[in-house]
Amino acid sequence: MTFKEFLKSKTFKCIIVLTTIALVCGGLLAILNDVLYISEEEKTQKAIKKIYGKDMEYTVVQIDEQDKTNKYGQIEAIYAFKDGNYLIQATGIDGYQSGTITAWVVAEFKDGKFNGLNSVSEASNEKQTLMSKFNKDFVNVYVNKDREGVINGKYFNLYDSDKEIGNISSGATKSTNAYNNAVNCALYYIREKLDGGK
Amino acid sequence: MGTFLMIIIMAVFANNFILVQFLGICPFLGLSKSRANAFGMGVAVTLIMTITCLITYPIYMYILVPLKLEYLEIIVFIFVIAALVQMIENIIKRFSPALYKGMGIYLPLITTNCAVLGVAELVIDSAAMANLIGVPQMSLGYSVLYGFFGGVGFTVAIILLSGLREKTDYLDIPKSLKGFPITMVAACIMAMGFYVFNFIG
Amino acid sequence: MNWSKYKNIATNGVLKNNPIFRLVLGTCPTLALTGSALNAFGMGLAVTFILTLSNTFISLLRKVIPDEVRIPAYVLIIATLVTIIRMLLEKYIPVLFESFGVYLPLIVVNCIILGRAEGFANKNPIFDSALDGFFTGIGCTLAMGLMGIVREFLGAGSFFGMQLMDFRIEFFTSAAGAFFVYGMFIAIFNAAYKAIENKINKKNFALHLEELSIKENN
Repeated sequence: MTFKEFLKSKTFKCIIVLTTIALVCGGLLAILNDVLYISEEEKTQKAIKKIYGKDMEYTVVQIDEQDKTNKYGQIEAIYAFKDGNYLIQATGIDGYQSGTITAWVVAEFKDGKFNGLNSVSEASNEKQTLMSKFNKDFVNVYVNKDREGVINGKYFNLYDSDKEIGNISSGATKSTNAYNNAVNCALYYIREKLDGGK
Repeated sequence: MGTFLMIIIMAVFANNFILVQFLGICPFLGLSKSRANAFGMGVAVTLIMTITCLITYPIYMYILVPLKLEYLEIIVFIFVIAALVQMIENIIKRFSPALYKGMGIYLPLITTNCAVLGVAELVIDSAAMANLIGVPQMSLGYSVLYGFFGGVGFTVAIILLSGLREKTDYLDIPKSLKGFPITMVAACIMAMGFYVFNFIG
Repeated sequence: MNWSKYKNIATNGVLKNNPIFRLVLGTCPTLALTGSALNAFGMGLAVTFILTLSNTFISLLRKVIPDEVRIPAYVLIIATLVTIIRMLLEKYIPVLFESFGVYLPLIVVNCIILGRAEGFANKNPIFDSALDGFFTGIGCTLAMGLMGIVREFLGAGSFFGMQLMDFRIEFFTSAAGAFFVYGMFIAIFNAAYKAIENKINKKNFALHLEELSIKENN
């Protein structure tokens, strides 16, 4: 078959048509992908809306290097809301198989003073296979408006002492530990850095 | 070993592709009339699902993600699967005509099988997948294993249903319940059985 | 205007060849997403959107695409449309995007869409094809929505997320309940359809007899 014959053949037509369609589709998708791109900021905004329950203007709080880690874990990010409350993303260590749990902690502030925990929810985890055993009641144990109790470390030794939590998440004590550490990590930062307008 | 067992339990039972995730229902209903057909389809699907995972996972992780072309994922996957099915069909036809006779007729149907595209899409959601089978990070090996045992789960479900259907065909039931409706009810009872596996782990 | 033809296309898509209840196609999303009415309607509308556009484009290109490569070409067009709707949902309706999960890309291998492309769009003019796609999609949406409403009400006591009653029979929102409700719906729909068809046939037959007797009398 000569080149000219090939140009007239059916195979050639098939290839041309398919390539054209593929190029048009690909180009269209590339353009739309640019137009409909969701930026990181938008993603954060959406995540915050989901956790906080409503749209809220926020600023990202800069964390000093030495305050990033404490004995409970690591502070990942802090968002200060316009209404005075804070959202803290903290990772607790010492979970099952030395894994971790990262939690969102919403801390309520009144006139610059810490007032209690509004909500706690899981962001992600590492190696914690029994997370399905955790129910809503478990997380609600942390939600507390008793400022003195919370700030003075009500949850600091829950893993050993408080039967309340052990009963709710029976069978996943190691993961409970990591969850406690995540909440405590956030509380530690609040006590040291945020409470009373420090 | 623990992870291996976890993948088997999750893929075959607790997250059975047909009865829990509803992937691959069309062949489940269409080809479960006889046990031989069900087995042939099951083996073919398992084969394709395993190889699909082996190919699509690296394509997504090492080509599409670095090039920021994630949006082409659906198109790429469906063409990989179509090409793969065609290739396997030719290979089997060439080297084992006996095997081709057995499962060749099912192969063209697999391109439009939800379970195959489904598994390709599921394993690239690394975070959710790693969580499901309890490993720190998803890897090619895990995704291939998940694909293989997902296919085994598909085969188990379709063979079980074919056994039930051989009986339900002779039941004395109202005419409007014959065919699909009674098959659905049989599948419903099977799904209840598989629900129990959710409490493992 | 050819009203009877359009009416025919519409009744075909919604009733006679209802893809969910009569042809039992596209079963995967039907079973998986009818646990809540909102998801079911959302999925139905997504399918309608894609079906209408895919039928339009395929009908538009039916004389250009050679027969030998028509299936890859159709799949390419459908996959592009699915990717587009996926981007749109992720940007503007993230709630639906999340609850659709893996079933959103799986629209590509939904038998209804390729079936209508093969069975209708590649032989018919553009407007008819678009109409056919639209009404088949509406048939899908209505069937899935109905199942979603029933399952959500029985399983959670709510209607589109609004709590109406304080009871829940969790069986109906579970995987097993999906199969059961779908089976019952197919049975009821087919029984009703047959009954109506019989009635119409009888009526036509009676009319036919009347005509015959009139002719004989003359």
